[in-house]
Amino acid sequence: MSEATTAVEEPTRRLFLERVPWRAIVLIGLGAILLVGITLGTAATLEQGRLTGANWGRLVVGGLTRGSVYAIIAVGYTLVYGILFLINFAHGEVFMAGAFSTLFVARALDEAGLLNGNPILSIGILFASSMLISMVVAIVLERVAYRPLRGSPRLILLITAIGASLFLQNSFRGFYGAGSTAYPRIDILTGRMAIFGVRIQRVELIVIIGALILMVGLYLFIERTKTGRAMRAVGEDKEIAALMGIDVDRVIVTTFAIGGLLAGAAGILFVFVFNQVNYFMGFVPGIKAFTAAVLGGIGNVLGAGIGGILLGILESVGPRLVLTGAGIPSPDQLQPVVAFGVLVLVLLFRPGGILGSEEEKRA
Amino acid sequence: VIYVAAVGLVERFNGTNVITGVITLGPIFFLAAMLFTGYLAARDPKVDGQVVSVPARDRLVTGVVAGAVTGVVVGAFVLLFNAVNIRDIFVSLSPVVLGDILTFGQEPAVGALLQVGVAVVLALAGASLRLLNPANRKPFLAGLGTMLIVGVMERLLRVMLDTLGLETDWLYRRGGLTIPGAIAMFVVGAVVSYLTTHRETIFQRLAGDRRIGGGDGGALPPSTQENLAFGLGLASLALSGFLAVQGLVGEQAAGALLILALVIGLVAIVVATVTVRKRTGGGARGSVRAGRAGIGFFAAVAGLFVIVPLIVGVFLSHAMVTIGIYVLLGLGLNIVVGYAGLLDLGYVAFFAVGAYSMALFTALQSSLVTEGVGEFGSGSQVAAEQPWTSFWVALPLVIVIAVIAGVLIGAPVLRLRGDYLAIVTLGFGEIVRVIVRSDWAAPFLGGSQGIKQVQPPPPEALDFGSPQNLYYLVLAFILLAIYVSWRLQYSRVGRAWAAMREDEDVAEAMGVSVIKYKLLAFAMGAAVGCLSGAFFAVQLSVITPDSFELLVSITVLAAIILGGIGSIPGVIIGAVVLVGLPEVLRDFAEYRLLFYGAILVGIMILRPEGLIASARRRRELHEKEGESEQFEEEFGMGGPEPAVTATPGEARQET
Repeated sequence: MSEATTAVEEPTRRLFLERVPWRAIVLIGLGAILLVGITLGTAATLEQGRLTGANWGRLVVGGLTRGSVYAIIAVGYTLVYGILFLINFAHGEVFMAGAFSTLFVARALDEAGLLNGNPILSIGILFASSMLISMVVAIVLERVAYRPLRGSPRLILLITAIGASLFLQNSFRGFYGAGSTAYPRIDILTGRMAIFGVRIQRVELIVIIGALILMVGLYLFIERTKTGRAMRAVGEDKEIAALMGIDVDRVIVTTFAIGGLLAGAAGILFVFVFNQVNYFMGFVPGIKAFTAAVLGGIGNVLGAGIGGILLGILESVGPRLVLTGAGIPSPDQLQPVVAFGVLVLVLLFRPGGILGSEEEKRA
Repeated sequence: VIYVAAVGLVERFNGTNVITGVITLGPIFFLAAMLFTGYLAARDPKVDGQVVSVPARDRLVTGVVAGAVTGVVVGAFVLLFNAVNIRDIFVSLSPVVLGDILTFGQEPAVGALLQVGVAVVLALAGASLRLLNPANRKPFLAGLGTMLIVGVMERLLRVMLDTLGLETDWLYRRGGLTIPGAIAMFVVGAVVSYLTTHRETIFQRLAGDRRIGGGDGGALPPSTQENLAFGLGLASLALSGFLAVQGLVGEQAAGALLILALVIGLVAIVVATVTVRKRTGGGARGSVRAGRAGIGFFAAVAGLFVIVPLIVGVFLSHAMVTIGIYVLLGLGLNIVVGYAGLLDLGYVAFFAVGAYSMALFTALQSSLVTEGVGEFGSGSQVAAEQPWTSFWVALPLVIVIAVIAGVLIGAPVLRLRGDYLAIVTLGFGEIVRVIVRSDWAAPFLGGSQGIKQVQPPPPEALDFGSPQNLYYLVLAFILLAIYVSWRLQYSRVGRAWAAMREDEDVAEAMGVSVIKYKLLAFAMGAAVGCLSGAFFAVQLSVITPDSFELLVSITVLAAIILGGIGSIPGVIIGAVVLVGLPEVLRDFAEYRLLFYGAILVGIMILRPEGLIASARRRRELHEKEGESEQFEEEFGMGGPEPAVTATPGEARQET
């Protein structure tokens, strides 16, 4: 009799144990700890009051600028991921290729006196050159590295992408040398102005506006044009898209080309802000842009934009705000931790990203 | 060609003499490129998937045309360069490259013409190579290859030969081969290659003469061969072990004995390979059940590994230890990536954890022991009298820490699959490095100063501070790691991992606890990685955050991919090639990342299962290829992702 009872009870108890939502409990607990930690840190920092309101404003604007650049690079990741389900690891290098190569165009323009003589035109030339080069690199990349592997397991594609990234990086290092080089100065970009009591560098304003224009343009392109529609179709189902008469390969190349164009533009914006290029410059922004894409919900163009800007601000404000209060010296050193921390948290709590719905567990 | 010139490799090649006074690597590269162009152009064209045989004349013509085109392009490039100075942009295009190599030291215009001429001639040669009987072509190419390799590896080989007490002056002069040396090497390469190509026939002849093989046309009876290999292998192992012990206690080992061990080992390897091939039908079933010949093979290889440090001297022993450390890392990562299929790009995190915890425990300047002595981390050179503990006590502690670290890093990413996992682990790797370097952790971990004066493992009598002796210690742990991962692979755990790797959902449905096994994989991988990190700390005796960059993760990944994911011999080969070659060819070390990148892409496209594939991997990958080909036929389009059923309007969820 007793044996029978245990036999019945055993599975019941196990079922009960299994029914307890351990995952949810752990997640909520983790979230609570984080929230408390962040609040405490923030409160402590604000109490110390070492930074004034204007300072915070500057940090936010700095983050916004940085975030705009991330956002545009992130779009490249998102577009490719939306169609091929591939994290195009080499996208950061595409970005670098454009910016680094255009350095020489800028120098030539500077020598010709055009850079400050006719700044609008020469900035246009810079953009065109960088976008063109990045686009070519992106297309070659797709052709040589990714196309032969269409249909392979995703890990293989990813490893290829890592390899391509290394290869591009070091090729450009071989081409142009390993040192960091500064762009020639463009006078029109310097200077400051005050908006709502916050002093802004003119560059930052230009970058933010530029990024905004690009994003809107891209959004319209994808939503309104025939090519954009084809891209969305291929992203949803390659086979059916092909049956509907869409040339899948061509759409994929177009996607890479657009990603490249945007990366090139982002490269110039990046140069406007940081004024320096080297062969390694693509890596960190690349990773962060990917984080931004995930943050916003990968595959989603609007999400990439929002994610980029959010990440930029978090990165710029976060360490100061939270960590200073916790008594940690030189919090800015920990900036990368913020970016990756955000990535992990997003994937833990909301794998679909901000704009993705909870059901879409893409992770 | 232009690409390589622009990247700057050529100049580097040029610095490496192959045959002193005659030719350097730079021109050889160009010549080889043109030869290859001809060779490629003259291959059998494929029409509708069917190989069409082409008459010899046509082949030569195609070869010439291809050569001419290459030559014209390069020539035009030379002219262009002389007209427009692009040195500002492409820093590597130095006048040396263009002036001397590409134009053969002539005037630009003449040089360009000459370039075309040379290209045509070489392409013709390449095309005619194609016409040769493969049996003859192979020895020829092998001869050339041997010459090249022996020439390039001058430093390594010379040290080895000197240790053996051999005369090297006839072979090398001023960092390159002498002409007689080159010819000799060509002959050696050709003969060896000839022998291996015609192995079967030779064995048959031998067998026929002795009338052992009998009428069925076999070589030596397999059992004899097997015993031979077994015996020889053991002999070489014993001899090497003996010599190693002698070397350890400080006596100078006799050169003749060393050579003997080497020769016996090599013969054993050859015989064992032949036998294994025969037994398993061309190696299709792998070396798992190769029997006694296999044991002989491994014994011989092990023997070679044992004596190598005695031959190569201190500098290269150091390199060997580095290789050993990477082999360990590779074995660890192989568990995570190869067995469990979790692509971890932040493996360096475990390496760092291992190195730092070992350093904390055993360094004289670790914060664990200097606290009472003085301010730590402020750049002051405070050192304690005694480390906190010794290597052997610290080792288990390090491994425990490693397992904890593995679980900690593994736990948050459990739910992530495939590429997300890769990025997040990459992030963790970077986080560890940033934290270690930051001022925040500086009081404890030493910030960018790192931790100094890590003590070598006791007892002092064995002097593990010297690279030669440390090498044996690392070797012992590599063997342990190999044994563990080999046993794991075919255990219940290994099967669970394989199931998980192939299809996570199905595995879960079949009752594999995915979470448990993923954590286990992370923990195991972390333990091995930390072990490797611990040795790293001991090897360098100083650790700084700069040693733990992403580069380490990438190198290890490239190594296991090159060798073959999931295959233990592959890991070793991969590590030796990717870590060993840059150590030996220091001149090219700058370009190693370029090669890693190229290798990753190339291997993935050409041979995704790696050089020495594990049988299972090969099946997996080729099965998938088969599927997508089938798919292509059905739908008449570029390969879609296999086995996907996604409803429109919904995101796909496959891995």
